Amino acid sequence: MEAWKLFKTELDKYDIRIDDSVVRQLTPMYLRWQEYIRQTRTIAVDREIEPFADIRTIARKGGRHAS
Amino acid sequence: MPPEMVRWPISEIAPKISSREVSPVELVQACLDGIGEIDDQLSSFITVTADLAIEQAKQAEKEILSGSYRGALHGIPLALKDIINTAGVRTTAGSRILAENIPAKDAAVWQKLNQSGGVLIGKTNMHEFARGSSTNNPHYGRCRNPWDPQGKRIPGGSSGGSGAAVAACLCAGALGTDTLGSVRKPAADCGIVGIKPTYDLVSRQGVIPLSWSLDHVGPMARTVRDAAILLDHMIDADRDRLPYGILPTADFRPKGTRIGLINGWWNARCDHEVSAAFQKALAAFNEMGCEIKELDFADMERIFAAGRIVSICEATTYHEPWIREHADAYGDDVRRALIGGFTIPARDYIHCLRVRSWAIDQFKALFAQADVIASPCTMEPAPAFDGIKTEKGLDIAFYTGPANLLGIPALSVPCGFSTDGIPIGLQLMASHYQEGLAINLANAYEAATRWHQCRPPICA
Repeated sequence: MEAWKLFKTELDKYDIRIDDSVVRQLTPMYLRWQEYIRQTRTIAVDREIEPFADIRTIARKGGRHAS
Repeated sequence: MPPEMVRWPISEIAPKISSREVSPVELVQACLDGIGEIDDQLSSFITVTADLAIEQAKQAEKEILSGSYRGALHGIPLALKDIINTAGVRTTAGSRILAENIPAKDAAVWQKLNQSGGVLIGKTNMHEFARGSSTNNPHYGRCRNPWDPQGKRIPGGSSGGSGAAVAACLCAGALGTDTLGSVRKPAADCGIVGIKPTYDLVSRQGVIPLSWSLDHVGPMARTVRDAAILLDHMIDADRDRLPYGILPTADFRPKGTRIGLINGWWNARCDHEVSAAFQKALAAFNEMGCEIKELDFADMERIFAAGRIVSICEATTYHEPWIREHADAYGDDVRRALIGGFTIPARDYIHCLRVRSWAIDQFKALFAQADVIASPCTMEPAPAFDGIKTEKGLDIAFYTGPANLLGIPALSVPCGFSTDGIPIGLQLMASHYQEGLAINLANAYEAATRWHQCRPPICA
């Protein structure tokens, strides 16, 4: 499927309705986001690492289980 | 033309205010006169609080004359990015959606500065909702870079109004917010100093969010010491955690400081002018006795990408109700950028939060090898407004974004000019709570150079 159609499908999932012409214009941005996703998925993160929301804790204790 | 006093740094004018040599009322009036004279060219302010500023300055003067001097910020004219709540003064976040928003309460950070005697001179222009780097605001006007007489170049952003106002001497200092570099980039583009402190060192309470886990409030000023003075009055955390304090110290010696240079990152995206200025700065550090250490770490691109993902997911989540109900009230670029956040799966957002934890551990190892890490602040000197393409704009925070994901302190200090006379900034990052080390080093660099003494042509 063409990139702009994929993008439109994603937006449709969230009921975000915009003109096809705008979707086409925004497709380079969408592709950049997909590239960011691809890049970050290549980082293998240790299973023990939690998705802490509180950086204060991380700053003090590091990224692993506080316990 | 406003008197010379508007150009003086806080560190020099504060003792004159304390000794009653300078009147806060005259100083504030001089800044207001400057705004009246040149801000129609810059559009650095959304709201000028002239009456309030004079009232606060008179109060400061009265207190000082009665012997109640509060300290270095007493009677000093300051500006706030218009995303920081101010009681009774509209706070728009640069948006049409919040055009009539008049907060009932001051943001915690302004409470602190105001209690220290700071005078609110106005609320500065910004990229709408802080989601962008040009400060080309469709609702309150395009803020221009004071170094460009043609008015075609961006002042950086999103805190572009704060950067332009400080550089043009329309206030003594200002606050900005920094989610992926929005204090440091306009500081670099406008030839001033900007500090993004350690995450949560400064309260975000009463600051309209862009991305909760990346947002920081930071000071912008014309010298390192002034930015440090501001930050010193903004802190909302236990000072015992700050091994170097905040203010530059007289006994700091740069000799032996290890400055890390991440191979393959510092020069990956910057143009030749930024690269040349940065390398000259490294040579200056070398002459000061610092040790330049090359560091091998291949993951900066991916850390930057993780920061972008966290940022857009959180921003889209915050804005979703408004996007659905008031989409037309947004400027085109911000609305379109926020729409992009709908396309990122939750598991990728969560993965990137875990990447953050992993990256912090990686940086702990890097900071075992170097005391600070240096890089350019921006990829190029401030570009023209029409020189930013959407996809390029996404990468504009390439050098500044990682410090937000990591929550580590980072600052920008002027390190030269392009051949067109546009400022260039150097970034120094330090380990959590070690902003004092980066500040001391930047202060020593500033003392060895002349960049901070240059003022834009609009001030002539």
